[in-house]
Amino acid sequence: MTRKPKELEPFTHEAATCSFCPKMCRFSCPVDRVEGSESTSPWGKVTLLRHVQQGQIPLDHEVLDSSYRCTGCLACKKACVHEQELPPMFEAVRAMGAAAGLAPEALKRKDELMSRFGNPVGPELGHCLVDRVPASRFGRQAPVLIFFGCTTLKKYPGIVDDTVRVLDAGEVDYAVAGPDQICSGLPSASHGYPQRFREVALRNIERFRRYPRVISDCPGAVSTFRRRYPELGLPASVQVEHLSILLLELLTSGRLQPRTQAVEKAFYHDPCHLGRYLGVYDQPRELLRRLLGEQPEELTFNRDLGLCSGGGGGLPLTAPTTAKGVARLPVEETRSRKGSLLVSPCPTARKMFSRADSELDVQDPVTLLARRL
Amino acid sequence: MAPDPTTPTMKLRSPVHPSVTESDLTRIFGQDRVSRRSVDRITYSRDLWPRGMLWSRQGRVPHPPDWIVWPEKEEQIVQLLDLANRKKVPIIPYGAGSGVCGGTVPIQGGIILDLKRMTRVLEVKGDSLLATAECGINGQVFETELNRRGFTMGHFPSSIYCSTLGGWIATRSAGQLSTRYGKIEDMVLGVRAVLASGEIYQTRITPRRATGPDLVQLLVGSEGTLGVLTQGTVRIHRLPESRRFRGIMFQDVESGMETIRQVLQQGLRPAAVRLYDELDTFLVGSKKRKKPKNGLAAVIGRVQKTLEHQMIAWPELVGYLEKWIGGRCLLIFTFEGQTEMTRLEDALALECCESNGGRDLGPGPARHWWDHRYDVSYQQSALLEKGYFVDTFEVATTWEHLPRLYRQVREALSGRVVVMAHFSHAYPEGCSIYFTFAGRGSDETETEALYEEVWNLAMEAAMSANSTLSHHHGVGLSKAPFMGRELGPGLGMLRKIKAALDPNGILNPGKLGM
Ligand SMILES: Cc1cc2nc3c(=O)[nH]c(=O)nc-3n(C[C@H](O)[C@H](O)[C@H](O)COP(=O)(O)OP(=O)(O)OC[C@H]3O[C@@H](n4cnc5c(N)ncnc54)[C@H](O)[C@@H]3O)c2cc1C
Ligand code: SF4
Ligand code: SF4
Repeated sequence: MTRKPKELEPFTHEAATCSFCPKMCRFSCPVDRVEGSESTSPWGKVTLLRHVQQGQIPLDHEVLDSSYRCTGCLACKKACVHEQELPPMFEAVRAMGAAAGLAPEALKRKDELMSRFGNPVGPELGHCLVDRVPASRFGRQAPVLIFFGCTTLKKYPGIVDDTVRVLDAGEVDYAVAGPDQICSGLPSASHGYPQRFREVALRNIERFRRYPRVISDCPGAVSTFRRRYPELGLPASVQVEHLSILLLELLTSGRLQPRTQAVEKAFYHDPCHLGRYLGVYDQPRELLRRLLGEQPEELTFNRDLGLCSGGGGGLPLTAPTTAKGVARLPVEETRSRKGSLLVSPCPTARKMFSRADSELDVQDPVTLLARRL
Repeated sequence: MAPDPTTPTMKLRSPVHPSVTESDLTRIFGQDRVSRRSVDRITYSRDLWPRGMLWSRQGRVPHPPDWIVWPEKEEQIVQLLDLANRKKVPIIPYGAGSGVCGGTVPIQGGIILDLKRMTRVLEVKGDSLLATAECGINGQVFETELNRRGFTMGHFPSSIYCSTLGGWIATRSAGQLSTRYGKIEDMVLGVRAVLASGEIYQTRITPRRATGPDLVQLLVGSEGTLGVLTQGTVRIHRLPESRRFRGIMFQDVESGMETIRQVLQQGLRPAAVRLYDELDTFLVGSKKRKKPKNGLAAVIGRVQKTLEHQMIAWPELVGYLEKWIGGRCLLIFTFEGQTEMTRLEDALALECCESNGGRDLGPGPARHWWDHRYDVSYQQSALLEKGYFVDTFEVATTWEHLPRLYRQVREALSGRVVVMAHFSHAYPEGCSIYFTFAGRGSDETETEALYEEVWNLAMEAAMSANSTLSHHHGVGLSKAPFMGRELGPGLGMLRKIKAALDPNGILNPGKLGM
């Protein structure tokens, strides 16, 4: 590797800005809150990269390890007056690491799965879809294409059942993506495999073109389609939304009239890719208000500064203890404030929260809605 | 011989204290909470002392620690201090490294003791208005936790996002609303600390005591040299019912100073009091006009931006410019508390301002400051990236010496660097002045030499105007050489206390002039 890697050149100014900054955004960074280490604070991660970029230290395992410790939650951007977006810098470094064969084994394995099956799990995700969605829903033309995320299919197939039930009840004319088309490619991008991401994205874009509207239950997928796909050719005419937006539409238009059923102290969690990435804060809360009969409780850090679940950026694979520690923050708050339910419209967050506390009731809004039909 | 283009240039010295082994530390902290990795030795080698920034820019790490450890329990700290006493190894308590005086720089090597895994809020007592937390908690996290429960600590250092409760206590810090809520020493009612001997000191929490000297205050401002703070109990307040803002323009800095004196001596207690000198007023104004709407404002904005850069590159220019930007010093007040009280305080303060020739600008400028009160902390990167140094120092004296202090420091620095000031943290007896200066030489060596020269001149000028060397940043390394003059015989007392409490000198050696 050269002493001053050219891959980091585009980030020269950003790297200097962080490196000489008094670490202002650190209070917002979930990894920093859990690890409390200078080297994995946003400032520390970037300062090390600046030293690499200046040819002062090598890009070795230690520096890479620090660059992997980012969930891509974007909280630091909201806490930074320069609105610095750090995850792209870490992705570039991870890509350098992967190219040099330095990626952790767990990420290499995921990439192999991505390359073989187009998703980070395996063929069973497709089987799960086939088992739960009528065959006629695949490959048909419809105003709406539903795209289920891989965590849903692996961990929470009940979300598929609930979604189908709700959409059928609302008489929505929809198709379902798959069974061979699962995953937005976000894991590849964030793990440092940009080429793989491109392959997956181009395949998806080719199929999305036919649909006026693409809806996914996975906030990561929605933000990837909206923020990364257009430059790869996704036409602006394809409208991409999160499932919670469609659900709220069904309620406000009167097509669904679920009964209201209160839950004692339900907390709402803002998923990073829905909140910070797409600015969707109010609609899921309104959806919950209509289902529960009152506004959900707010976590201490919410909306722009809402707590990450620790599930992004490959963190559960590269630093599982930290990832669990991050998930524990909202979970412990929910517990300590006597919450009986934590609602997150993000299957990855749900998985992380349940890992941190298997006893806590964590639900997706679509399930709450299905139960109230 | 030309340097090898593939060989990284940064060098890290070997550990200063090889007697400490990995198993010594992992036995106490476990494998994952002990590090001597290069990345950690680099990031923990400096805090926000501008000299450390220069090192980093130059790709140098003159003072890496030997080890870094992250305790999660007090008992681990006790065991570490026992080890350090046996092996005579320095222990450097570390909060968030936001200190600006080099207080955490391991100049004699040793072990950095990072408290940021001890972050629990232990108790919030609404009836007695007290909160207890572990010392590694981030300031903004703590404040947000209190806010959710309807309280505030009232402590808002500009570094609240990036500093810890322990760091606040250890540096004797002051927040932006100190005039109303007091400084950390007024807020902290008790602490829990591990002393160098490994003994635990814990304060009995009562509103006040007359049982000998206040031992809490001995630890407040001790900068990690007398004990490791593990918990702090602080006064809290109910969130204010109302907040009012007022901006006033004065023709010169003296009338602004005089007004603050009168306001404070009348018994009014604004939350924030900030008087900007002419250059600072000019720059505050230029920040405000960041996105000008009309053509003329856009031109003025561009001229101001250019001037800012030119002034820092050629500090002599400031002298010529002063005529142009002179005659405008902005004073802002914020008031917090019950609606009736804030309305009255605002009215009385305004009356006082007008009687001293101030022109009322309404709430706008103060509200703008409030909305952007931490923004300035993010701004130094641009100058550092371009090869400048930027530093601040905060001095304080009594009213009769204040105008001389302001003049003397400016005169000492003008022509060498750009220097500006604002007055904040006001008292009936006097006030603090916060100077900011920036400059550069023709290369890194000259820049560092200029920085050193300017720093010494500033300290000298301040001391000869009967000022303290630090109102709230503390001493660390940067002011350590001047502590003899600052404290006189007091330094001897301090050293004796240190020797009694820490006979092996293991706690943060070289800091506070000890
Ligand atoms: C942008 C910026 C703005 C700032 N604004 C202000 C301001 O408005 N007001 C103000 O007062 N200061 C300000 N500071 C200075 C700094 O933030 C304060 O000194 C702060 O209190 C340091 O806290 P820290 O947790 O970062 O401590 P550190 O920098 O980690 O440590 C500072 C000193 O305290 C000791 N220490 C830290 N934690 C402990 C502990 N638990 N036990 C014993 N010793 C300990 C260290 O050994 C060291 O000597 C500012 C700094 C920056 C960079
Ligand atoms: S992201 Fe912004 S606030 Fe955070 S370290 Fe970088 S410049 Fe500072
Ligand atoms: S994106 Fe999130 S995890 Fe990554 S550095 Fe920023 S705040 Fe930390």
